[in-house]
Amino acid sequence: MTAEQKKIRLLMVDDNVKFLETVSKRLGLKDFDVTAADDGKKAIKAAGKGEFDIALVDLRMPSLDGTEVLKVLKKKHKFLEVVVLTGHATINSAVECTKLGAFDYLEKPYEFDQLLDVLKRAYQNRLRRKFERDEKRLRDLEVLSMGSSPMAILKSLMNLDDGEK
Amino acid sequence: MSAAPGAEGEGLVFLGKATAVISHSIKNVMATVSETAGLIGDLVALAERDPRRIDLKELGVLGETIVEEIQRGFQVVQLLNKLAHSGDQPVADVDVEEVVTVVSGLGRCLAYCSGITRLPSAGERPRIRTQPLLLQDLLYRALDAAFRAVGPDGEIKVGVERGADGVCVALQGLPAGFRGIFESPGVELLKQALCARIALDKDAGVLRLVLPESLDEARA
Repeated sequence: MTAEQKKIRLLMVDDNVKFLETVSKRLGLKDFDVTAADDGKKAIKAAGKGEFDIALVDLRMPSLDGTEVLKVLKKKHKFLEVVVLTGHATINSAVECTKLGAFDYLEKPYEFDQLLDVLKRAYQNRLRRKFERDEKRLRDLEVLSMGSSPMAILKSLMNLDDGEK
Repeated sequence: MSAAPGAEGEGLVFLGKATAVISHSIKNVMATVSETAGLIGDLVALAERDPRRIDLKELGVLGETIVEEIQRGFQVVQLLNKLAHSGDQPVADVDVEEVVTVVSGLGRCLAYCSGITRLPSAGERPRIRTQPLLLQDLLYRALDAAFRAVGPDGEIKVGVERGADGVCVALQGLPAGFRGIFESPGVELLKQALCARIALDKDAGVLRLVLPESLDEARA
């Protein structure tokens, strides 16, 4: 991959700093552009500053729990896919995370290739959702462009633009 | 002598919780070891393609990380072993400092744990005759409640001292709003089974668990 080619932007949050650094580095070698945060608050702050494709979120963390991070990220970043990675896996928490919009739920320890596969599928899902949205927008645009006054079209176009980066 | 049936059930629940907490810690250790070994493999594979890319210092640091994590894993397994053996005898002579060490170690496995400072005991390490498993359960509940009240950035001081009415484990540094651990029916069962007294000094921010020197005598 050349420097000009796009990398998958990944936000990773885990309070186990050694684990965080090691996985970040491994994913970096696999051409992910990784931003690491060692607590939930830092992750939310980082997500507000940058644009990410995927977030990899630990569940049990001091100060702000992973499910809270998941809720905030999904609420504020419509197309961000969140993968939960935890050593505290239970059926209840897996169900809760899925209901909150997590793309997938991985239990530690895991195979690195399994993580790569989940991240790949998460990224594909993000693109699919964006393209679906864009197709719908194109259809809406075509409908709007017929028969209305220029100002009405302009107002409707503004409604179509949700202002997302 | 055996515990009251309800209290035995509480002890079993405690062992289940403790095992879950410890297994989560072991999973974290294994995940870090696995990823660090994987990273060494990735770096070696890169160096095979381009030997100039090998960074011996980095490989050394990664090797040290694996050793440190395995040592951490050993400590967690030792903790599990001590907890598991605490149920060997319903009533036994126990070193209270040792019980506090085991329970503090378990508490440190919790993501939301606060800092724990052990206060040095004056004189001999107090030993009492009690139900070890249930004592661990009661202490763990007190520590867990303290962590939740103090938060991960705070600190709790834990001291053991012998007093006129028994041996006291004191948790210091609790915030003004701390409500104690009195509301749980399980705590009441444990208190009765251990003939313990629990007192909260709200002004000083201290929770005291006072235990009799001999459970046999206290129950007589």
